[in-house]
Amino acid sequence: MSTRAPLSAIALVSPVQAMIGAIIFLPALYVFWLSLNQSSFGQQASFVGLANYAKVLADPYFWKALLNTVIVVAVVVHVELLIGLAMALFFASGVPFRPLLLAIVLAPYAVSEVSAVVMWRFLFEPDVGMMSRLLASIGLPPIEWAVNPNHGLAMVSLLSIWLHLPFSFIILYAARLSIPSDLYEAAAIDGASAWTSFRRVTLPLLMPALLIAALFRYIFAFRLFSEVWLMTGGGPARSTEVLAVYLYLEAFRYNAFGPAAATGWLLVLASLLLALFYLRRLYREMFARA
Amino acid sequence: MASVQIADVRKAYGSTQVIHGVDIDIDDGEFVILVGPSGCGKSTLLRMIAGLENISGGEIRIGPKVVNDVPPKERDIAMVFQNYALYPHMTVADNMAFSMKLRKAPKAEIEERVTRAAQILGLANLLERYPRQLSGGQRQRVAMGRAIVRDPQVFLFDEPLSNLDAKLRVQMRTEIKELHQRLKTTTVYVTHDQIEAMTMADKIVVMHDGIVEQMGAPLDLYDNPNNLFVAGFIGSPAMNMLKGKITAAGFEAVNPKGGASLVWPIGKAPAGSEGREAVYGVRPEHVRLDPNGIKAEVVVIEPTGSETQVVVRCGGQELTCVFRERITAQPGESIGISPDTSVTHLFDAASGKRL
Repeated sequence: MSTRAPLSAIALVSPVQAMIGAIIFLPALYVFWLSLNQSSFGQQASFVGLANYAKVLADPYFWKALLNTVIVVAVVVHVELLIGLAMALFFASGVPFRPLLLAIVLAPYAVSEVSAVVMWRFLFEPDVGMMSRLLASIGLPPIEWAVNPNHGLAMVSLLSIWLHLPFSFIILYAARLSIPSDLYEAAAIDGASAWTSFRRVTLPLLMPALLIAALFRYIFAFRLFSEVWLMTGGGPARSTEVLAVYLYLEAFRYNAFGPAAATGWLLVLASLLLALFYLRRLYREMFARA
Repeated sequence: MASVQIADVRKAYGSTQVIHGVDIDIDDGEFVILVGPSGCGKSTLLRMIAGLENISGGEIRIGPKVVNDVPPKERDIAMVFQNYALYPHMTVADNMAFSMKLRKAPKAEIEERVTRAAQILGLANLLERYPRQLSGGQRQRVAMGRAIVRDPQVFLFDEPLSNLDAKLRVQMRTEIKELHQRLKTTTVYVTHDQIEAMTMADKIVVMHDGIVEQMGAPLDLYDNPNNLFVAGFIGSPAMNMLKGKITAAGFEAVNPKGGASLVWPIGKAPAGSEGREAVYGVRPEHVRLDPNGIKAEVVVIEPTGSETQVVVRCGGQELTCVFRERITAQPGESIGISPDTSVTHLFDAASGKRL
């Protein structure tokens, strides 16, 4: 087989390449150029070097937003994986009415973020919300997500977990189903208890799937925007801002395109940095041992 | 090492009974093969011995102990699975050491036993490999290594050779037999391949539809099958079976084509069986070339070098014969054959039981 792709093959893939280039690659480069310039509406862009980066990195609100993002993302991804794993194992151990339960578990994935936030705002409305009243009836204090920043972020995390759990669950469930049952029989004969066979058989064999789910969820979760924007709007007093909200405010409230673009690239760098750990593990897990 | 007693063991899934009261005594150190067509319950029975399936009725003893309610890990058995069931994320050494590590055996002892098992099976230089880096035959050996390291009371094999190619299967057959002669551990082995059963077993248990059709030494089953099922299952190529009637002159086979019926010679008809509807059985290797015998038309000739398998037609029926001699006749030509009457079999037509 020749290694040179024939012209016709290139012609066939070129529309897709052109589309990816036009809607991802070029804008990314444009944003990078923008991050090196000072510009706003009706203003000629002027080159400022790395000043925008310096400005963003000197802004305490940026650091607050970054911290919020990292905390929310870490909580969301790990709790989600943990619950997803538990549910996958529970489903694999054989549940009655499996198709029905699967449909119920997967349902949140079909809900749009906006509808989900609206639903949750109603459910947790401090005075009349069903969940708030339920909490009150069992003697728990209400969640003051509109006033208390910690409660606000906790709400966002909860919502985010609920919304994306089906993704983690389905990946882990599929991976668990692909583990042959005779491995568990062999382990039972070898003397493994339920816990040992989970730790020594299930967990290592689920590791690639766990890492993939974690990686994807990290990258998706880092872009967290609508949940925060619609739930708290970043308030009170910018205390619940996450990076994407910070970026949006810079760009469209303060019309500072340069710092917004710089934030965008910092966001990419931060998520890559976080993902790096998982990518390395994934690489070792999946390819290095081949 | 231990004996295994299976007494009136039954298995039912819901209202469907798949094993109907099986009794098998396995002596200490014996190599017993459960053989039968798929769905006969042999694997289920093995899994019940292992503790992977629960027992619906009856009793299984390993040594003196009734193990019906004993979990697999406390039965002191080791099992080799059809698909090997090696832990893909562990090296060969770790796979073999897993059970001992779980039992918190001292490191030195684990190492010594793994090394010894690896030597026995020729795995010594593969210990650091992962299962996916091994060939089918090597994986098979690792699975056996994992069993040997345990030094269990009983080895259980569940169709261990069915995923190997024909040549390797023959080789592993010999290796397993040799291993058993060396370790002398009680072994229960499940297969659907009667040649495996014949070549390896001390005792064969032929199962069919959840019951034991017959058990005994391989050659005993070959020489004296109790019924039509065992007669047809043991031996390859399978025994020729002709329907007909016992007469004073011999066995009068029905001619399905409606022509004249042939009379086959029988050694000694059981007393009072004259006139009885029966099945006449003769193994292909017990038919001789005989110019004065029954005239038969050659249909197909299959020479294998050491012997010649010939399908002939006589009396409206087809028969398979295996001759040591080389045959010069061509398809369509006629040869004379005669059965060795000292080893022909007669079965009751209705019950299938040996007469």
